[in-house]
Amino acid sequence: MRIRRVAILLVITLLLQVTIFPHVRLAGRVPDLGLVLAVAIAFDYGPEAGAIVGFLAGLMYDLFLATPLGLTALAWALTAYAVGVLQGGVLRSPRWFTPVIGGATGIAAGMLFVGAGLLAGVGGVHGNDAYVTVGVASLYDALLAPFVFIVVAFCLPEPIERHSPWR
Amino acid sequence: MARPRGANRRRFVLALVLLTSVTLITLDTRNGRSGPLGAVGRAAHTIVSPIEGAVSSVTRPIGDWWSGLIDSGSIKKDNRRLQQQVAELKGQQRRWADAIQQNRDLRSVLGLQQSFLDVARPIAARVIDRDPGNFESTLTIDRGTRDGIAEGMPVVAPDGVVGHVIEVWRNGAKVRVLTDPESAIAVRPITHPVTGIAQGQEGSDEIVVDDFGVNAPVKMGDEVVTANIANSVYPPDLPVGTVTGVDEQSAGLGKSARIKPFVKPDELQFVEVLRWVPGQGPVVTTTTTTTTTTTMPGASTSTSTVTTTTGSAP
Repeated sequence: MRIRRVAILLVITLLLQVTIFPHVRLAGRVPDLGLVLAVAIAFDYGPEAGAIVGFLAGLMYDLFLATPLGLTALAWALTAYAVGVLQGGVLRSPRWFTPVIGGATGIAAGMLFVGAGLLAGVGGVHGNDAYVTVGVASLYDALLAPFVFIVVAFCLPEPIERHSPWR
Repeated sequence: MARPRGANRRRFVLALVLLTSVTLITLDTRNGRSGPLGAVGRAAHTIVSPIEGAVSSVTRPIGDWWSGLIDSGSIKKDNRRLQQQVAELKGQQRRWADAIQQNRDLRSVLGLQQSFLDVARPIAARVIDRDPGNFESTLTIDRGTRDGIAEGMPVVAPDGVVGHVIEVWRNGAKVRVLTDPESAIAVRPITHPVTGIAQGQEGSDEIVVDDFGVNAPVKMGDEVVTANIANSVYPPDLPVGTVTGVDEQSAGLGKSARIKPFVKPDELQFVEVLRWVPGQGPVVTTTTTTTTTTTMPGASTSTSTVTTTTGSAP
């Protein structure tokens, strides 16, 4: 995998996440762009790459949040790792698969974030509104997933025969 | 049977990521953003802040234009209502200016300390970003350590209290607003000294006081201000909000009150950071200028000027 290209993608993702998306909200919520990037990479390059990219994207995002450093990194890395493990049997997939995987991983990462946040004693990650937030953010992730998968497929041509549907 | 090397490597990566994340969460929860982690965070903010400011400058007019398009039907009506309000407020302002001057004169005559707003000059700042994440209520402003802002300083708007500074870097700062679930503020009804601690609630634009006494004279519609308690983050008597509901707690333990803050963080464009050190008081900036003239026999005259600026808390 091309490390320099991944680094550039990480920086661009972070800048979009902290400068553009706070102004482009869906029902008051922002998407998890770094998570979708990590999932797209995990889908093509496997669980190790997904976990590392998810961890780095989450850690960079954490620097801009008031929640404990490492919380987003943990949630995104574990989710991307799981995607990398589970996608092993998928060779080709229909077009609807990408938004579905974007939404599903948004919910999984959101619930991990909430769970780990509760264990760490973070205020504001409990109650019904937290679940609404996870749901809306995952819907946003689902909408963005096809675009992110296209960008990843364009910037990081995969080394194996299998390829993602949106290219 | 020998395991494939790939599987071991996967597990190693997973374990490494897990351990690093948990260690970082633990360190951050215990020590806050200090040390190398805090320095990295401040450096990242310093780099990204100008970009945030530029994006905000571009997106705000577009957002305003869009809002104008969506709300065009009510704009004329709003304009008429606001003009009438401006006329009324101008009249009130003239009366209040007179009262403020009288108050200042009387304080001077009685030898009382001037209001902290008179001695600590607030720092005006522009809001360049808000809530980068989904689980917090924060604002990012474009003034930082180079402008004299420090962690813990209270932030206000013309309507009342906005919140307080939780993180500061060279050219910006992060402000936790009152409605954030991690926020707490000591308040009292404007007409009575009974004090309670108001806390933000997840997903709500109200703050809640749970510790008013059973006989506390708090009722719906009361205005509340910051209370004067030891080590308070906020100076006393700043407007906070209006009581929207009062509930008796079970077993007669006390009263809880819901308060709607005057300030709507989503609509803020500019705020003021008060030079107030929690537990100490206002930061007063004094400037001392010393001029020394030296004349040596048979030599030219040299003059040196030393200007010292100090901050102190009375």
